[in-house]
Amino acid sequence: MHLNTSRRGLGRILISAAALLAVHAAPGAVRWVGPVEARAQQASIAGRVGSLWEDPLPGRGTPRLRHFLSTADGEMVPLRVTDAQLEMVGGARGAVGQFVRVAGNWRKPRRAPGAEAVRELEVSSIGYATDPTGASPPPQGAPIFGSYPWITVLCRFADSPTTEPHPLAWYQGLMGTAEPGADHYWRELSFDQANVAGSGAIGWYDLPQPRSAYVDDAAGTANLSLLKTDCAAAADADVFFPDYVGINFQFNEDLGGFSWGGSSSLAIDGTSRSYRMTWLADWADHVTYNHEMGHGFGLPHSSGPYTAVYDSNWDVMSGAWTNHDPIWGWLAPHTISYHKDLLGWIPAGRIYDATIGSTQTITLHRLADLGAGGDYLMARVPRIDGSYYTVEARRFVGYDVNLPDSAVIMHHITNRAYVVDPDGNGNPDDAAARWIPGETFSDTESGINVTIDAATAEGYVVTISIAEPGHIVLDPSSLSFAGLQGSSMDPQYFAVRNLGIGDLQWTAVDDAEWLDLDVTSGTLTPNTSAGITATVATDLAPGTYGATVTVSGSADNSPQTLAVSIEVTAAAVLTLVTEPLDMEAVVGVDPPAREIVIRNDGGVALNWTATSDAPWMTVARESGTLEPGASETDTVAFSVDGLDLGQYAGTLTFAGDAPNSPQILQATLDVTLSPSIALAGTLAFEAYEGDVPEAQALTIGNDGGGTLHWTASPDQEWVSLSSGSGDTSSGSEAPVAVAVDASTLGAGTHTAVITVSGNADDSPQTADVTFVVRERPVLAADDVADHLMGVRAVLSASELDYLDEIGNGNGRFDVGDFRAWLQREGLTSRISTTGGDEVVP
Amino acid sequence: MKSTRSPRSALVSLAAMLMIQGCGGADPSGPPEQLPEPGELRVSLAGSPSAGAVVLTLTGPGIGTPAPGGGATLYHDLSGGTLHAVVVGTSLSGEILRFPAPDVRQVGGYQAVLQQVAGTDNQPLDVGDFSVTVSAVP
Repeated sequence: MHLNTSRRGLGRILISAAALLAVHAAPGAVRWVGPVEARAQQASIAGRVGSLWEDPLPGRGTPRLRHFLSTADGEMVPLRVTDAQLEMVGGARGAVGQFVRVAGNWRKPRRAPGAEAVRELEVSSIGYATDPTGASPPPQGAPIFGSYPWITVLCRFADSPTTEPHPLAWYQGLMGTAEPGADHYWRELSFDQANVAGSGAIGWYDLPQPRSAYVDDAAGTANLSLLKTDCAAAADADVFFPDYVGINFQFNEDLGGFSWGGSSSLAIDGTSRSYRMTWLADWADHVTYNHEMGHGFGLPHSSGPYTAVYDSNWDVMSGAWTNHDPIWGWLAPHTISYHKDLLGWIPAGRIYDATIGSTQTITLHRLADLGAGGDYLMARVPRIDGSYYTVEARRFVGYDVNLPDSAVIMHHITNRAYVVDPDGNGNPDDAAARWIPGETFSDTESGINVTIDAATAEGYVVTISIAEPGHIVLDPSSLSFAGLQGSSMDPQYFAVRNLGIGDLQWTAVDDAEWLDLDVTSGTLTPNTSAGITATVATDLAPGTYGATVTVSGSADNSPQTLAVSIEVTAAAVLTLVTEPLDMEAVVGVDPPAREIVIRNDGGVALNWTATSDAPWMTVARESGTLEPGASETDTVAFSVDGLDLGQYAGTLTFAGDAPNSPQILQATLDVTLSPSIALAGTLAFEAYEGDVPEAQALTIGNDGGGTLHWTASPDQEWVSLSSGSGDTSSGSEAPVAVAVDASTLGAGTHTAVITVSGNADDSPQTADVTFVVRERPVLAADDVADHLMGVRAVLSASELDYLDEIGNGNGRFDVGDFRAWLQREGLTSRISTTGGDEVVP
Repeated sequence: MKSTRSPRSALVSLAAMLMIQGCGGADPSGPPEQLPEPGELRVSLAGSPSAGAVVLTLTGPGIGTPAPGGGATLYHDLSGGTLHAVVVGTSLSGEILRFPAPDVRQVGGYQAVLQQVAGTDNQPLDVGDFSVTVSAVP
């Protein structure tokens, strides 16, 4: 199927180290030339942001994504810009292609004296600007869907006009639709979602200057700006560049040991715009082209977890020299799942995202094709530090035909992808990086396990688990209480510790009513603990009890349990039942005695004694014995003999051979004068028949001592009281509302008596009630109206008074009284005339 | 601008005017006669706060038997050309009664005077805070 029929090809041993390392190179060696106005120390320039992947030779520095500004005159101004500054214009990748204005200071040349200056603009501010040409920025980066035609322009240096590494037809084939042409290649990588259909190659064209004008071999640099400008101009008569999204500038000699890929602007064919762009040396082959075009599509590098960049043969965006073809050179393999997802090619439903606390077995289909089923194409496994792993299946098929092996491959994704290679031997292609059935990858720090369960025809079955971040430890693991029946036991403590790798959210529950925990939930960061106090009830019968405290939460070992036991030994329990001993007494009169129930709630016999420390308080029985569950009643007597007015306090102590002995009762005795009933208030009511007059107040006071406990009741049903009883302390009074009801009474004067009784020497006392019920006048509306209008004075003085009384009560009869009378009589809906006619509207 | 009229058009207008007057039966050679226009007049109340009842008198030519405004209750005495009325309602405002009149164009010959006003709480109100007017029924 592929041009190379040997899976292992020539092997790495045959690869020229120099050629290998020179496949990709970068602007660390580029001779940058600033615009004329940039000669000043400070500058403010506008242009489109471009980016190139800088791939230095080993030992020359760290690979990085470099940004530059392409100005209207075609210059490429290298920028020293921070990620934070790039965020102002869309981020490190989103900024590419944006038209911006940049202000900053020129930095000194990095080259040695005598060499051509390489000047960088150290950015102090950056922001969006308007392109004076009105051109909109080209799309960059993900997603990549549809057609992306590239043109490959072949250019010869003026001093080597006959040198051609390959004929035009070779480059046309390299960009073509037949395998392994670029269109065929990118279709397979993208699951036929993207292609470079319409691409082509043209040339060779002669550059106006010799190679030395473009390439400084001594410094290992090339003037990319001049190279693209001159090469594009040479082909301009035959190429309308805006028809293409990308340009490969292919040169016929070496470019100082590097090729480059990324994006850059070009002002040609009447428009200045950004293109996906590569600069390719004479040795560029299939893998070189597709690697640099991958940069043009926005892809970064991947590699092993070492200092090298081109050490992973699992990815076209790393080294990938395992599949050599005699015509096309090294053939590129697929790119990794992380990169395919970056460009939007893996459907969301074909990505398994592992979650914390989950264990899931999935089938991973090989990454080289979608397959007929819906198996996952990649898995993402989050680490505790925010980075994550990708898991993918790689099999010998398609452009993956000559991979290092058929295996599950994992990458650790941070700023880019690094092959997971546990042996750390510098080779990310070897067995340690190939996960095969029976092997398990473990990341104990993040609680991650990835086990390769089995191989399938087109992939692998893997089980991915991520443990809960917490780990519960209960210290101690059990609690034991012991004590006598009825006695309180000291609380005990235990700790919930989190020895996990992340936060532990925990809850604790127990299964016994007699057990109480003071804290039942919380959150613990790693290596912290929470203390819990356990207390037990005191009313347990003798015996042995057991309970379980269950602590559960976001832990890999949830739930954990703690056993609680309690041993209650039988004992007597002294229990007293009585009303409060707060006594009141009038001088010379003993208050009534109180009863106290003495009970043994324990499991053995109780011998008890009772003693009083006050001479005015005595108990009838001073000792006794009670069997378990038995009770008896004692009597407490109070004597005021010899006591003056005042309040006295004492204690009554019950003791015995019980753990809860003694039980002490506090007693008080308030010796006062006798209460005296004082009634106040005139209860005289007056109303027309059927009316209810307002209630009046009867005040019940206590002119004596102590507290007057009173009751009040009327002798007539038409009298009612707001309260029939109450307590009034010495010197105070209580108001009682007295209401009368004339609904059952005829006209005339009615009387009643309210009797107030209580614990007073002068009890009972009475209050008289009188109620005058007046006859209601019978009036004709016409008479009232005529009187009001002054037509006829037909109403008597008492009738006029009546009308005013039920009206506004202002002392005279007026229209307001008339209206009130109509309302009372229900006549407002009628219209009558003095002539006898009556009209109802 | 000064307008002019031709002798012919002036004659035509005069003839038309005489024909109209002839239809009314008047003496075509005398002045035009105003005929009485019998109908109803209304008494309206204005002022604040809301009134619940009023006492008023109304004088004028040929006052007929009155009727209350909507929702109100009316007591009245009509004797000697003077109408005494008590109007009681929930809240009186606007037209409080209407009455027949022999010639409604003589509305200016009627006079209404408020005697008492009570509020909706039956408390007396100052009549100076209210006014009554007699007007034609539209």
